[in-house]
Amino acid sequence: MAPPVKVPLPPRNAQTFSTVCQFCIVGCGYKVYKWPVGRDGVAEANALGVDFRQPQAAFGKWVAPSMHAVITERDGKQFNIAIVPDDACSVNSGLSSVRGGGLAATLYAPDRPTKARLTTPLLAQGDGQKAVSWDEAVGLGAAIIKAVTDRWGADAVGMKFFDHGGGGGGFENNWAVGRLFFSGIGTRSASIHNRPAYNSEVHAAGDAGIAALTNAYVDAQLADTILVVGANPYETQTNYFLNHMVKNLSGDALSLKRGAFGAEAVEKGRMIVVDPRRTMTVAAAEAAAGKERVLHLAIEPGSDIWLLNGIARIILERNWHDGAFISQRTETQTFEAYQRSSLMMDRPRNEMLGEAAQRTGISIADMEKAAQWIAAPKADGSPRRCLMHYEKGLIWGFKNYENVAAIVDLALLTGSLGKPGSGVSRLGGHQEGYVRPPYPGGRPALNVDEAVRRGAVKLYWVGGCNPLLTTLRAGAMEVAFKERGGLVTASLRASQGKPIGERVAGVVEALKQGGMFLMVQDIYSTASSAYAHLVLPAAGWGETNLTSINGERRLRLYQRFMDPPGDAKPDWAIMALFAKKLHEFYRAEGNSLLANRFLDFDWASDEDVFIQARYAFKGTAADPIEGYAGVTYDLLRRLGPNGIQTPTRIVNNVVVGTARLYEDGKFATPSGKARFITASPPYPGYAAKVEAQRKRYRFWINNGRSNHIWQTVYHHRFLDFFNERMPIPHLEMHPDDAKELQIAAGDVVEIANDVGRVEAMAYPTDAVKRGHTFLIFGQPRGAAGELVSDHVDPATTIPYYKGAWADVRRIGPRPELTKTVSFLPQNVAE
Amino acid sequence: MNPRRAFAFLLVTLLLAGWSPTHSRDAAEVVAGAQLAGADLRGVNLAGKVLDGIVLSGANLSGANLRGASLKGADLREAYLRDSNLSGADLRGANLGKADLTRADLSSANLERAMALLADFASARLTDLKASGSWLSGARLAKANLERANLAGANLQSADLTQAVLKRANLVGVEFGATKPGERRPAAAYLHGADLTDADLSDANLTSVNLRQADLRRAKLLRARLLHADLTWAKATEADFSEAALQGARLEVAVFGKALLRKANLSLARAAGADFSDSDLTDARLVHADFSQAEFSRAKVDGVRLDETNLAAARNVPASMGRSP
Repeated sequence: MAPPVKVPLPPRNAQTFSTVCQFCIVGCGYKVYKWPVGRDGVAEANALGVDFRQPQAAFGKWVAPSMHAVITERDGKQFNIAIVPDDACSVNSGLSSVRGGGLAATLYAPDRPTKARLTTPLLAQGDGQKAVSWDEAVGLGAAIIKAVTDRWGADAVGMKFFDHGGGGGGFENNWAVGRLFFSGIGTRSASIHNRPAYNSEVHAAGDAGIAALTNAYVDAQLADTILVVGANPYETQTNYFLNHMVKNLSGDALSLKRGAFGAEAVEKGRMIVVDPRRTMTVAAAEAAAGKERVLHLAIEPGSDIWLLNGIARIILERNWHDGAFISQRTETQTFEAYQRSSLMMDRPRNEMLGEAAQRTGISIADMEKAAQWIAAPKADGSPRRCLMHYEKGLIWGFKNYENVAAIVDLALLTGSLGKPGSGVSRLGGHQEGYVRPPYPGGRPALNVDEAVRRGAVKLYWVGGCNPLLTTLRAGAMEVAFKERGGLVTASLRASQGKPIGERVAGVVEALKQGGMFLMVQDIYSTASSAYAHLVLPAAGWGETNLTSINGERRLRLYQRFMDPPGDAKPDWAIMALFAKKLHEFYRAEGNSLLANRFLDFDWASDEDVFIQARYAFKGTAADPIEGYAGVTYDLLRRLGPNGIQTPTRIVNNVVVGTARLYEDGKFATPSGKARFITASPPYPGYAAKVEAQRKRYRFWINNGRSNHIWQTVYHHRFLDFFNERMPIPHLEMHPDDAKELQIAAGDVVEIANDVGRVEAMAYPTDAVKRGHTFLIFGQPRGAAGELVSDHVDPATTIPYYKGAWADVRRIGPRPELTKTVSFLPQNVAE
Repeated sequence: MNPRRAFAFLLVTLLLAGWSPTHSRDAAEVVAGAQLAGADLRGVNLAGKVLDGIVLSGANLSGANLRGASLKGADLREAYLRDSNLSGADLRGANLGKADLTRADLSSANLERAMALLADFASARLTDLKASGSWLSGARLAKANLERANLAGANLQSADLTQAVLKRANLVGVEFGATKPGERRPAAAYLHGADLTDADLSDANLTSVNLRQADLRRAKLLRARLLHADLTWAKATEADFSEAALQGARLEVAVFGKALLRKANLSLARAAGADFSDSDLTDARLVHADFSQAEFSRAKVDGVRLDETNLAAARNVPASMGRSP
């Protein structure tokens, strides 16, 4: 038996910081306690205010081992850090997810696995990379940027950067990145972390005049019905689900509902989940609400438009739509077009619904039930309140624009906007920090992945992301890094020790031959950084102040509580170094026009960046969610874990937030009225390359996240707790399919198609239908992107990440990998 | 001249000459059935005349003098009554649907149980109006002066009362609000910037009503239903909200100095930056409400119910609310 782990308690005089989890979009509030090693609190007197001599409730306040770490500051002093969920935060009310509960374990420490953090700039040399000073790194990098821009134009400088909030960026870092690349360099070859272009994932919502995040989290407690399309909130927005949705489903929010709505009929909530898998969300919802109040629609891939429009057709024909909302809040001509095109009103009802049922695999009866739960008047005749959520199953489905349009249209049809208990919003993945000057390109945006492979991008700067794991057709990207990058590597090797001018000239010659200079800015070495010529170490969460919003636009300050490791710097400071150097170069050659593009990077602190962005960031009318007029760090410090919901406005010198968008009934269109966005029949079939895969391969390879790991597991791959549970990605497949292929639980299998191959451990489960599978995405030891074709929605340049088909083959058991993994059913709850 | 127009001309001539339908029952019936729809009666002087039941729908009565006239049950639908004088007129049970009464003088007029759906009273003088039980839904009353008006039990759903003056008006039981919370349109009235000082709004339904920047000083709102109403930056000093239902209401930066909010239900209310100095919040419910940046100097908070209440950056919060100042 392992000895008990002792965790020190913070003393009463411990320093206290307010912060927010660095991971998912929910953004749970946490308190950070910091105190010198050896000056611990005691059971009866500690900063938590809990007397640990007494028995504690099961879910009481405590410091779990995963919530504690010892860190070493730059001056060598050691401190204890405890990071515990904040019960004063309305988002999580003291709950932590399995990810947030381990925040302390992700902190840099020279004597723990996180010592793998990047601590100094690295320059390709010989067969590897050597540490260099910031002066040398910035001098060489900026000189190559200038040489590329001068010779090939700004678009030859490509970038793929985070647009996250939380640990991935924040307002400050995003602003700095945008200032350098957009208003500085002026490149259109920009792309956002997980996709090949610089584009919204919800263009259709924007065109309708509706932002991505419309509701307050409390609306999930007030709704009559929560519709979740292509999302799995229990695993990926855990505490939004547990602290808000479950309270509604279980009836715990009934008194709140009664209070909110007076005499209106209220009852405990219902949930509709549209997902090909029977996820943990479905199981947990059934456990909370009862099976009779949860409707799981196990949809076939690529048929979302049919399902949502089929449900809408039923609502319209049963007269359950909100006529007053439509006539007063929408452009009526778009409603007419919507009825004609999307709802196919010229086709007989049974014919349209019959085809919808055949394509979606959902019976007409279930569509009728969904329509009723979404829009049928309640027992007292009052309109039903429906909160609609969607995420990657729809966004990364086929096809992005019309998928998103279909759910936004459904919300408009039912008036599910601007009222308590309603909304149509992304559930989201990461937190949001999109605060940047305008992208200089048009729409659809340039496909940067394609430009990298083609050779049009001469310098590629990757920041806070890992395209070799998350991009589509990842194998081809790796070939480009290897082959095009190899030419530059050889040049740098040849010019080692020579003056910088000669080195830059050598690199330019390599670029002329088809080479590409690769810069990677990150907190750890990654698969991408292994190919980089210049690696720039960034500060992470807790090592710099940053601000972000969560899925209900709640803006908070994530306070700095420790030093970054070694010479690592915040991303905004790195951007400033390069901008100042470029300014210096252009000024030296008398080019004031270009020199002036790199002015105003003299930020002394993170708050300087925040304030500059606050004044300069205009956002767009369709996407006002990050506007933060009047907000200061001081205000955010005082507002603490609940912060303020954006957009903010100043009323009589007070900064006032926005709990819920569109309460004034005005939408972000020139007319102020929302627009229905039509999908023209026949709804689009699969593109040729996708159709070819479908016909050739047996299994649909769906992909997504899992509860206990985050994104590309950039932190978690260093932590035993997570590695033990996910040493390699798992592939969910139906037990009958597994049996037919003689695959047992834990067997390593090969998943292969015309794009690439991935190895994974098999996890037979009836969560997926026969012929369907589900693969964890972005895992360093096997990325779903290796299998995804480079097809993108031509309207939005958004890939069909959810659309890969492949064959599965048993390789054999590897007990050393799977001995710590459980293969028990996960999609059950009591 | 067609026969209808000829009759109208004759009738008006008689009326102007001093003839009154009250002289005989038959004459009254003649007037009651008189079809003057669409007649051009601009500037006509019918002060004090008895015109009960008269049909003047679509008639042009701009600038007409109808002071003290009896128009009970008259059909004035879509009539043009701009700048007309209807002071003291008896319009009980009349139908003024879509009538244009811009700048008209209806002071001390009687509109009890009248219908005036979608009528336009913009900038009209409605002081001392008697309009209890009237049906004014969708009416435009922007900048109208309703001082001391009695609108008890009237229906003003969807009415536009922007910058209207309702000082000392009796608004007891008025139906301003949406039928259901959250329905701002089409049902809820619009009272943006209205002057409701000293008005009595007790038991009124103001659900989802827009009262932004409204002046509610000393107004009585006992038991009023203000669910999801918008009182952003409203002035409510010394107003009485006792037992009022303010769930989900927007009270940001509103001023409640010395206001009575005893037993008021402020659950889910959004009151960031609001001023509750010297207010009485005894036994009020503040569950799930946002009171960040609010001011509570000397507020009485005994028995206040808190749960998930956001008091971040609030000032002078009494210790009994769980926070030190």
